[in-house]
Amino acid sequence: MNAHRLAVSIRILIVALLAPLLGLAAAEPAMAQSEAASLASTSPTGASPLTAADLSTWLDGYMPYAIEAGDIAGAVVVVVKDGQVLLRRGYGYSDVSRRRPVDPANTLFRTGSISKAFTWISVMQQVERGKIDLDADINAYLDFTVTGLGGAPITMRHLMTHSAGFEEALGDLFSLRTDRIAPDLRSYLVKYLPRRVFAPGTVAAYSNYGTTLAGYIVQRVSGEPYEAYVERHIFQPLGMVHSSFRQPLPSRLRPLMSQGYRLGSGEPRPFEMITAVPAGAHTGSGDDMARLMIALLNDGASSRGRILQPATVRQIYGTPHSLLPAPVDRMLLGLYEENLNGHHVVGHGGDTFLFHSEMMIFPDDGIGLFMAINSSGRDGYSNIQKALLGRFADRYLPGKVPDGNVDAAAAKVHARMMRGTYESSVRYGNFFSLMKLFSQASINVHDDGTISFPAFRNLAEAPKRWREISPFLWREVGGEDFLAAKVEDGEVAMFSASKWTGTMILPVPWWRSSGWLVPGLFLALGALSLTVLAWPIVAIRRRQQAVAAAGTVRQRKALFGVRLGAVAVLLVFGAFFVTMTMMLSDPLSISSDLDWWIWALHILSLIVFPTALLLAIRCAWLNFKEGAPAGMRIWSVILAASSFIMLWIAIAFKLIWFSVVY
Amino acid sequence: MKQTSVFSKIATFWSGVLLLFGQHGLAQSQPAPSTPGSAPTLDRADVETWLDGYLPYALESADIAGAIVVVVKDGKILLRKGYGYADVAKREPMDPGRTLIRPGSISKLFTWTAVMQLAEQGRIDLDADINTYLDFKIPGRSDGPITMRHLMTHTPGFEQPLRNMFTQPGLPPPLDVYLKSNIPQRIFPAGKVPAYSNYGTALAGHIVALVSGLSFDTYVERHIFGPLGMRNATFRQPLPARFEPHMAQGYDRASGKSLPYELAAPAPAGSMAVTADDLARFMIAHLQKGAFGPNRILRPETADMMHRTPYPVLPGLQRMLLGFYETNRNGHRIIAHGGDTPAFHSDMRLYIDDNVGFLISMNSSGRDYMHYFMRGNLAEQFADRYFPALTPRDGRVDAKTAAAHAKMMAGRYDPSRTSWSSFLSVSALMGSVVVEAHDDGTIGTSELQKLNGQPKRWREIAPFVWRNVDGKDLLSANVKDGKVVMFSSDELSPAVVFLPLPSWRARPDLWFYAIAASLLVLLATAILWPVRSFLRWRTATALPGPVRTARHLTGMAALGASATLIGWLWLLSNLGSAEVPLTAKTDPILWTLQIAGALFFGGGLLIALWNGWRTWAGGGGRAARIWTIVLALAFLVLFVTALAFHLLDFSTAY
Repeated sequence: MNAHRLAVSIRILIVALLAPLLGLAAAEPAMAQSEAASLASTSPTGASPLTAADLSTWLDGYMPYAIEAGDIAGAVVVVVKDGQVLLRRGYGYSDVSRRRPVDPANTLFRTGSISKAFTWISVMQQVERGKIDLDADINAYLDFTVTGLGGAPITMRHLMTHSAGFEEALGDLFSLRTDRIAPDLRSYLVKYLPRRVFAPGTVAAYSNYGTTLAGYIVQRVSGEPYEAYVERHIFQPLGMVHSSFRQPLPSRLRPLMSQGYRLGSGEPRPFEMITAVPAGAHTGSGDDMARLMIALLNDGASSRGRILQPATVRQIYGTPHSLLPAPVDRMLLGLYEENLNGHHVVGHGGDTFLFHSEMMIFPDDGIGLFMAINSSGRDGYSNIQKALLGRFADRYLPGKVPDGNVDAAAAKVHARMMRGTYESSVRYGNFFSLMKLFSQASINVHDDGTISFPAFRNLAEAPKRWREISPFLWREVGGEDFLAAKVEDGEVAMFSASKWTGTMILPVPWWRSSGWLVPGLFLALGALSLTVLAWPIVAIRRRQQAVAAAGTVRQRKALFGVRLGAVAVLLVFGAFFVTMTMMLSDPLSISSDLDWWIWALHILSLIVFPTALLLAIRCAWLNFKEGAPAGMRIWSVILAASSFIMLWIAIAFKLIWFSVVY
Repeated sequence: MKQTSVFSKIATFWSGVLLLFGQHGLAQSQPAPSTPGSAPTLDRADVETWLDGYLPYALESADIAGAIVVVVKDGKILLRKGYGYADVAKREPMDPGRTLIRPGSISKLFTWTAVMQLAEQGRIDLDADINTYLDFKIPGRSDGPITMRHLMTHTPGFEQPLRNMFTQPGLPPPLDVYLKSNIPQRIFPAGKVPAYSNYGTALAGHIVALVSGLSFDTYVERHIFGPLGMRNATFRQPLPARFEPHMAQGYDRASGKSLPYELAAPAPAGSMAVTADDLARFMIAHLQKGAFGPNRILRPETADMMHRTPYPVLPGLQRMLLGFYETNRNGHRIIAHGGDTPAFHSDMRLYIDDNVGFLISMNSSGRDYMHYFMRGNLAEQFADRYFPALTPRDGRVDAKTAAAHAKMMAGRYDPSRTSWSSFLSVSALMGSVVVEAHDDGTIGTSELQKLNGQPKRWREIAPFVWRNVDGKDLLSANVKDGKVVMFSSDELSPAVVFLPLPSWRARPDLWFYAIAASLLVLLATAILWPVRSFLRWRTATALPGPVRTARHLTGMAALGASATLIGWLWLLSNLGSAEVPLTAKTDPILWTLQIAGALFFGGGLLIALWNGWRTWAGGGGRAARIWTIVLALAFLVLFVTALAFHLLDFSTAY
């Protein structure tokens, strides 16, 4: 099997395993994120009026097929318009075996990262009260110290735009056990403080940790526990009686909770505990999300109460963090910006392992849409909430999509500049980064001057094609998404695309590039495996024919060492790979319960990889010095090179590492 | 280039070959519990909005380039709309008035309409031996002749011939030449077993030509297209130049390259190209019992006979009519036909008591056979939305009986539309249908799946009649002396039934393991042959002459047999592709493989036996002796497999 194809298939495997998890942790470039691309969409000729009747019929067309084809048990859709609920509908089941339908008023869904919206609202409330300054060093509010890369200060604004520069923090993010939920945010934050890998403000790298830190700051400056704060200052003023951040749920809400499924045709899964509470622990009904959207559309107030001042709401919507130019979606103050058909959209998506949701409001049009599903669904057919949004906009809010042309020669030059190997800015703090080796991807340049990037896919999971419409801004061919690159000194510094808000795609430095490391890894694994496999075969053959082994005693001893080293390297590498795959496939297993095992692997790798290289070099040196046959000399050099590559990978991808914080 | 494994090809065999020229899709949908109280009225606004919600997402997520939908009601077009692209590269939209699509087997309805026209003129007797009309002879069978009625109900009992059906890139031979040189085996008595047959329909088209004295194409143009004013319709191949500008591209997947225009040899079974608007005329004419404006293509009583003469095979299930088949739902009578070419997939349903018709046609297969599941779901949702009914109140069978019947049903089955007498029979090894008995008394069917790709589950509601747990469709079995004779479900019952596998094939897994093990043994022998010779040469330990010759011959035979087997696997997994099309172009490969099979499987077995005898007689270690037995067994397995699955028939008919 060719190495590249194997790498690709491993990548696909990992992508499949990871997609649900990283939803919460934002976008991973390798993940098959499908969007409302529009290969098959008809361009709307004119807007259909957004009425309850039209929307209801339209959703009757969309939803039953979408959830059934996606093997999704149940869904809720809520649309608000002009301060009123226009439509609220449940589809499918909140409990399949009991045939309990989804009730938009009373069925509770986990909203995942939409929880962050509550945290950012809380932060802005404290800004209004003068208790938080968006541009002050956050250490002013903390009782432990967090500094940015190179000692630069991190501000609340950095946390809100996911640009504090944190590495990804995955440890103990999900659990099924109440006692895993850190008793207080502080102990979680102190234990899992990730490394800082980018200078504050320079690169967006979606961070649950950063949001949790912000929630903790709210707790510190308000003097109220986070969960209680949100209840008092957001849920109560808006009358959101079916919402909670508490885990497990308060007993009055528990009977209303929807079951969560991987596949709607499968068994329900237990309630997910989310340790990073302010980043993802919210549970709520469709009706409650309508209340929130109505307030956000109405300058911060509903008919029952106010949560933000009008100026603050405008500040949130109107402060984009422009690492890349619009119309590529940018981070606002905590919420995402989206540009759909020229309409300004503000919102957030949310994914737990089982629940997936999307909240989008059109502030200039007075329209809001929330949708949630209670199953991860079938691969390739489950991104229905994101797809719905684009189609909703096309039907009811059509408009002009920016377009343009770059002359063919320039487009070609720019496309060529984009060539290279890239990875997501969301970086792993431990050996999970080995996955990065397989998820790095390259920009493809096509004959017609268009480009594609494997991670940016359409609904049918085919890579989108992008055509340059102005220098370093590309538009999806036949679609409405954009891709933009930031170029510094003639080099691509980063790029991203619509709906990848909060995540940048960065060039990979040569020393960790899969371009040579993946072929290198497969060659090395091949050479080491051959050595190990040949060992018993040669030995048996010798015994059968009573032939003595070739070479001097020293050479034979050295060869023995090399073989032993090869066995050890393969075992340790294999153990890492299996551990990574298993942990990432089940985020519940990413917990400190496994720290002992990971420590053991790290200690072993510290011994095994360097020792194997030393043994291989010694063997090669002896072979040359003592004039072994040419075949043996060449093979021993190959083995030394293989061991070198393995050590390189072990260092570059944190198999040799001194921490279990990740 | 798409990667195909043997297994995915087997899946293709199932969904593809079974559906190649059409079978209606009736993937049952889970009734959504959110349906609002009163049924929406079928008016233009509602159905358009509803389809606007359904189709764009459904097409795009399935990687289907475009679709056209037509709804007719009360003699008029209520809605006609294109979604997506007729040509992806040129961004040309699907246009129901201009874009031509290939309706595949829906073409058959024109053939059957032509037959009924001639029947109503007394020129064809539906119950006469078709040999009366033919200019060549369909071979007889002691259990009776084939009649036109058998052809119309897909019960002539023909084997499924694949060869030369699509002749891309060459033009197909004239209809009569094709029919005369590809006469299929008659594997069932006529009138007994539904087994969808393109050949049978083409035969009927040929009879239309012979009886009318016109070519089939001309007959249809004069007597159907003309009266209906269908100006944008043709059966002719290649596509007449005036239609070319508006012909939709066909795709496997919308994100891939477009496919060339498909040329079908049994033309009356599926060669049509037509606009959706023109098909709407045909639908309206049938809904109005033959009348279209001032013209008429059938007399009302003839239309009624065509629409209302069922051919029951299994109790309770949807039946074949005279050319149409039933897809009744919610107490409404619905007659239908689907149509599939390699790229185009269509479905037409006529609510004959409600004067409503629905047509969808798509120009790509898309991924995961969603073209099939989706159009079934769409048709059901349409019926449930505009013609709803309460969920049927079913009877129950007591738990013990249900468990006993489920156990009786459990096993492997072959579809009746299959190849049994050619090398294609080997596909059945992996492509058979598995019925599983579950603990709760329900049964599961591996290949009859829901929209989400999960197998359907069925609960027994009357003896040997089961209802889909998540839908409204039924499954029913014919049982004799405690043994299942055949079963089918509403999804396929008009034209395909499932028959229990003969016992010698009932364990495909054992065949599979035996063949795989044999291949390993032969490959090992073939690889070790030069290695051992080399080692012997180096250590100068030559074997005695006769043993050496036997070893060399065995090595060669092992190498040849491995290569032949791998060749067959390659052929089977690529059959139908550009390299090995289902035409005469593939014949040399078939001949080579069959000759190689005789040489290396048969000859190899003899050599292996001889080698065994030499080794046992003339020394050689214990391991070597045992290996000769293993080797002989491996050759035996391949030889028996080749005989059983027609790999040594020295024939290129399939």
